[in-house]
Amino acid sequence: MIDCDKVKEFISDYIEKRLSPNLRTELDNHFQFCTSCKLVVKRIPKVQSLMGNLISVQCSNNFNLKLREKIANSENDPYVSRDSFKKLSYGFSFAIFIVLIVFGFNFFNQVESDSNIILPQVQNQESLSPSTPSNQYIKHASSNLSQTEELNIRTKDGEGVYSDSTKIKSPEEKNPRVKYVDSK
Amino acid sequence: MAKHENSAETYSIKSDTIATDEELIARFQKGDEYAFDQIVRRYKDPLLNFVYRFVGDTIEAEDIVQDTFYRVYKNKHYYKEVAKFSTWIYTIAGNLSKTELRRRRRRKFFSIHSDSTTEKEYELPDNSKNPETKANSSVTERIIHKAISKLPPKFRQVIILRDVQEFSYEEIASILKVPLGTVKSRVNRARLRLQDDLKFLVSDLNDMSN
Repeated sequence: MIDCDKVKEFISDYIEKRLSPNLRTELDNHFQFCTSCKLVVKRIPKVQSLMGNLISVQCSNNFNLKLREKIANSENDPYVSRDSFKKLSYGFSFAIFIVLIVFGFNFFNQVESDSNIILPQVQNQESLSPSTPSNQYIKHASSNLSQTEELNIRTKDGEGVYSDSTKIKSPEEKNPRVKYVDSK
Repeated sequence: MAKHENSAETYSIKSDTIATDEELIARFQKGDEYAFDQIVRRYKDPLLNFVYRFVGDTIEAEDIVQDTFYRVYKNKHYYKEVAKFSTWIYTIAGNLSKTELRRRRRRKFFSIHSDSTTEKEYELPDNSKNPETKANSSVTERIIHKAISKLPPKFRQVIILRDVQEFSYEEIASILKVPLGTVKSRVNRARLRLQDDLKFLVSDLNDMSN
């Protein structure tokens, strides 16, 4: 037996005579003993008729004039339709994508070339023990103490600290006497 | 014949009844501005009724209808004759109405005073009947209108298209771009809600008729 909820599902089809004969008979049987569903099926056509007879509203007299004005004004002010807006947004996204790719490519190139410069230096540094004086010079390079010995070394052979540190050093060179003087 | 077609005929001149909507839009696409005027004359009132029942305010409804024709004018080349012109124009009007409702909801959300246009009194057109009938029909009109505006937008739209504008289920499905089954189900649920909200009114009518 069909229940009230199921009947309500088919009620519009029942009113508009869109149901199969079997289902229609089932609903008819249900209405014989269910007064609430029977009331609903009576009320709906009345509501429909009320809706169909609603007062019709009409446009104002100057509707066409206003519309023409709106169209005329739009000739001066270019209208961006939804589709053209979509196209614009796609174009803009594509441009951003291209820019990102170019920047990304440049960035990785830069990183790669930097690593080519830094890597040998790092490898050189790895060969040094952390307590070597040459390291200490680098650490204190920004301090307000001037490095007299270091300056002497540089001026003697004209090579940098790193290249100097790669050389096989004599015990004296390994432990140079460092004299710090206050720059002030 | 559906009401929207009836209304279209009422506001048409002799030459309009000969040309179909599709012929008119085709002429307009070729640059005939007079064809556009004929389209406006045919559709402005049926569209206004649809939008008015949906948004509940005549001034806003007229603005939306203006905007609908403006979009038709600007996007005339987007119309392809695979769909009916009436379906296309009602889709535009429906979408604009939904946008207006969303905007109104946002405004209501951000506003301190939440009593907005949905609850305001509607200005109804003057119908030339005797004062008593006029008053009764005006009250009935308001009650029905309020019941319709209480429905959720997706139910409201289908019930207006079906029971006020008298579109077929298939046409409604193509206007709203939803499956046919969904349209039928929404119409059914909207009718059930309306008969429940308007039962006192329907019962009164029933008593009067007996």
